[in-house]
Amino acid sequence: MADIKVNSLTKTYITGTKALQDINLEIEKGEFYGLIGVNGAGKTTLINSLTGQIKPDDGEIDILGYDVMENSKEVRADVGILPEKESPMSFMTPEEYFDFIGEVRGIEEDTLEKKVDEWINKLNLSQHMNSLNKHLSRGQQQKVLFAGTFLHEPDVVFIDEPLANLDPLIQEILKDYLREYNEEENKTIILSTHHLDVAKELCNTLGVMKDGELIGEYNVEELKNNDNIRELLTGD
Amino acid sequence: MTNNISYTKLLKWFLKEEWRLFTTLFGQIRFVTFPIIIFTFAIILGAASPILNTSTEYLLFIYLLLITIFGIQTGSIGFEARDSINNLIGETSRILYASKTLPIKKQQLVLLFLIKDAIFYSLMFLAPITIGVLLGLVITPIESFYVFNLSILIDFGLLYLMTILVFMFGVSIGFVFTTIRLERITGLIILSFLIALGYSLFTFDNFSIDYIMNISLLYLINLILFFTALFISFGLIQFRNPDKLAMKSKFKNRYKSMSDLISPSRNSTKIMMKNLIDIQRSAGGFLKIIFSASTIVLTAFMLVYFMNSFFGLAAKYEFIYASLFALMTYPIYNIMFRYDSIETYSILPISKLEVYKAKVILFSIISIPLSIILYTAFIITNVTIVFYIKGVIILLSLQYYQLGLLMFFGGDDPHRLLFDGISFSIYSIATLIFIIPILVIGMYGLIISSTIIYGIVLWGVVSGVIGFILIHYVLKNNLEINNI
Repeated sequence: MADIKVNSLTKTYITGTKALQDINLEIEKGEFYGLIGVNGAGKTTLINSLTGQIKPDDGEIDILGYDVMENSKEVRADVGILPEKESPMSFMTPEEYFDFIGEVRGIEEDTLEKKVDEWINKLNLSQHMNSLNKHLSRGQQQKVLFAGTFLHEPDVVFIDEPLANLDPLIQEILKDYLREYNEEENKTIILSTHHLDVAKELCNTLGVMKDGELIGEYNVEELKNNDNIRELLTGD
Repeated sequence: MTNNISYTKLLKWFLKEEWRLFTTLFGQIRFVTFPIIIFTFAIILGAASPILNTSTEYLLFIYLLLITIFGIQTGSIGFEARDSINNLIGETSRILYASKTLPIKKQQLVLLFLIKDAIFYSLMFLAPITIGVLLGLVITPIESFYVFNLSILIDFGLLYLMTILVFMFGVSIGFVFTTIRLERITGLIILSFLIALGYSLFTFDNFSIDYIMNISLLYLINLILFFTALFISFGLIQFRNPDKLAMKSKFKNRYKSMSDLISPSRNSTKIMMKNLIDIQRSAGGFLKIIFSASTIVLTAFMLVYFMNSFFGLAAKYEFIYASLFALMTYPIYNIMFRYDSIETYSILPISKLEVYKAKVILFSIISIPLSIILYTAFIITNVTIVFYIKGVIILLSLQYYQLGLLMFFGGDDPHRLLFDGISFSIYSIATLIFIIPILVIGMYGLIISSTIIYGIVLWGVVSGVIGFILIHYVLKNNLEINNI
């Protein structure tokens, strides 16, 4: 059964940029789907539309049985979202940020505590738990955002450039976590990135976007030996 | 590598950046409309000012006082912390911050930033104000002391120069208050001194420069100590940096204690607590609310004082202060959104409706008690309980009316109202329609019939009803977060 169904999705910005053009997409439960494309291809707009953060002009989106246009709050309750351009709330500490998420998402106190402890250990956050988020480095902020996205163990997760600003060691730890989360717990992950190597390493399926269009979908196995990035990303 | 860029070039870039900042925020046409609207308001003000029938010196004093306050507000906005600018227009890097990455001295940038403000605001805002006021005085249909002759050009030059100077004085004060850390002892002393000085002036019947020179040092020190103790006891000033403050008072504990009082299951309560924390931990802490309110209080007090001196008003002060103190809504609403962007919540199951509800609750917790305390302090000595309550009704009604207008026209970006010509004029007219009649009746309340007095209270209530309708409308139309 498909967790995500998208039908004829379009979005044009006020500037006239056609960010999404007639997107049709189906992502099955347990799939690790990679959205790749050059800068400005429409990946982030698609993710923002799928998560109800922006309103498309036309089309239908169904996430976990919800019509996103009508029930975007319910969708955000059930999925996890790690945006590209966002920081954890500036004047809260990471500890408070996790508490806030716990309160809003209705996570049991004991469960939250356990989950937060796991993330603190995994990402080596213990020294920073009582600093204001605004005083953390960009990499530390990204760790906090990443952990916050998975606290409620969502069935579907949207992650936009999740490894940005992170050191190589943490990148490897998080890649392992994402694989495990997808394979062992059968959760659906949608990853947006312009790093083809990361997408190939993690995903089962890749959707290539160009100028707001989904120009192709590939099984990653088919691409393992194809190194012609230019051909893949431009469709030429 | 030495710093080779010339002051002139850098200044040009500063000016370009300022222009682009505003036109990006509001659109070129809306922003260009703003000086035209200011000009129109200034003509009306100038043309109406002979009604005051007083000496030019007093009028000039009031005019320059208002410009100073405008400067203070501008200075506070211009030098706001990077976080608040980022909240306003997204992740930004401005020339002011260039010394971090480029070989330019910070002092050079700050100096040029001030010069840029002087030039930009002189042309875009102060020139239309000055020309408008003078033109209004010349063309007024009311019998005026002002006669048109060639000396008007000299008058204009002098007035314009004075306007620019007092505006920059205000900008500098705004700068001082938004950059010094108020939790440090220097900031505390400066603030307590200014408040003590203001209070001692306020409590003295005959306001004059001579009086300032003769204030007893001991009296002033006592007042400073009193205000310092007051601020500390109310937790308005904390001698801790924000990180230490965060360790002492955590979201979870605060939320738990607050949830005993307010419905804990609602997201709006959680957002409200988070917003309260933002305000406390950002530069200036809770004290910036007092500072913002004080500019309105100061304006109200000076206007009442001078009008009283000119006319010997038969005033109902409760109506005057109620109508003017309602204007505190704008700075407080602005602060509520300054550190708390709605986009932050777009990744969580939180609707825009809940964010706005949180703001309404927060506004009711902060603005209403603060304005009632100040209103009471100003009129307590000369009001009966019945008129005190009438004033409170007007004050509350006008505040919720203002809140409704701000939610409707400003949304989550109230800065828009400051420089978007069209929104600004609609907002100003909508505000003045209710405030001016109450203010005028307030000035002559003692000689006006009780029917009219009741009528004006009803007029205030009508504003409150409209306010609630507007609030309801905004809430109803913001069920979901859609950023674009």
